[in-house]
Amino acid sequence: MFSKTEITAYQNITAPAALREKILAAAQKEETTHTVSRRKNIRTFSALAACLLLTISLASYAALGLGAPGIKVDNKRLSASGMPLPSENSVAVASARSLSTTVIPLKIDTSGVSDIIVTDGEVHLFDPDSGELLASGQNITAMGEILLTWELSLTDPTASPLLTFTEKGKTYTITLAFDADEGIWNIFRS
Amino acid sequence: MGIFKTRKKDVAATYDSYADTLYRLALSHLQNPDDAQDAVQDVFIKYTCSAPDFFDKEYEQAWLIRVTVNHCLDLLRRRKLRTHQSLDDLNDVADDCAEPNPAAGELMEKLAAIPETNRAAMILHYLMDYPVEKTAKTLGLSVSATKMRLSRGREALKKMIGEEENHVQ
Repeated sequence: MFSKTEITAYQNITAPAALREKILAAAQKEETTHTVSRRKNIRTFSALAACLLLTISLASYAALGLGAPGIKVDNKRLSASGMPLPSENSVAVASARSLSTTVIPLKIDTSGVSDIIVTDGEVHLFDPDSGELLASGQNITAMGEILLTWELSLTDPTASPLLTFTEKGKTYTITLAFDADEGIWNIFRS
Repeated sequence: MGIFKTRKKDVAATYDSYADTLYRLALSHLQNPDDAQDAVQDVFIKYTCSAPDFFDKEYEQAWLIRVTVNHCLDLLRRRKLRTHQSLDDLNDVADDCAEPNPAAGELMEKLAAIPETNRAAMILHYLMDYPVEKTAKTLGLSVSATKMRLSRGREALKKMIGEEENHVQ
């Protein structure tokens, strides 16, 4: 496929020398920003009333799903109050390779690079334009409009499978929980 | 499974170990030295802020490669870069090597002929000499999916070479 000359040419490509300092400076800035944020939190802790009000406001803001990445399950927006998993008649579940496997279609809108990790099963990442499978595993990385399926076995009602993803330093979680009264699995975001 | 744990990372050591590999990958995908540098910088920022704890160096390298490839693919999707670059861009690639190397420009042109989604597998297997299994593991793909991408990549190269030979004739 490639000649020895081409392989050697490829291996001789090196990152520009200036890039090293640029990246180390950027990394140092990122670490400093996180440290400064922690110090600011300590200072404002003493203003308890203001903090409480801020917390309530932020909780409401988060509950409305504003500011956080949009998450859709089977094309329905997922909120903190959750929803039942797509019914067994949905196309996504019907296409599961085995009856003991559940497939949850998810769409996550991010603006940065996200690392997605699941505690159970695995996720499959698809190209939103072509639908082509791009990656599979328990830990994948994606960016922008993320189209994926979470495939796992939901046979233990006491389990709480988690999917987490990070964006801009914040971690978001999608949780599955079994409702014993209704006998169904629900999905939540936080 | 543990999720994320913030820890101080030795970014300098990681850069020295993997920057050239990641830069080559980014350049192969984005076909532009400036874009490739930006991509590598984005990857290291992500590494600094939210990389998981790595079991070993092999896992760390695989993570960095996968993040770089996915980042480049996303940039290509968003920017809808042209697959055929101007002569100036290819000359920039040659100029960017440690020594002037026209072969690098020709290589980049060959890589540009490979569909974006198949390019990483071709690079890891044929240019970095990864076995198919390691290529699959690094990219988070099954072995069969990896073989499919390699097959498609080879077809694209054969078609490109065939078209060039017809042009010469």
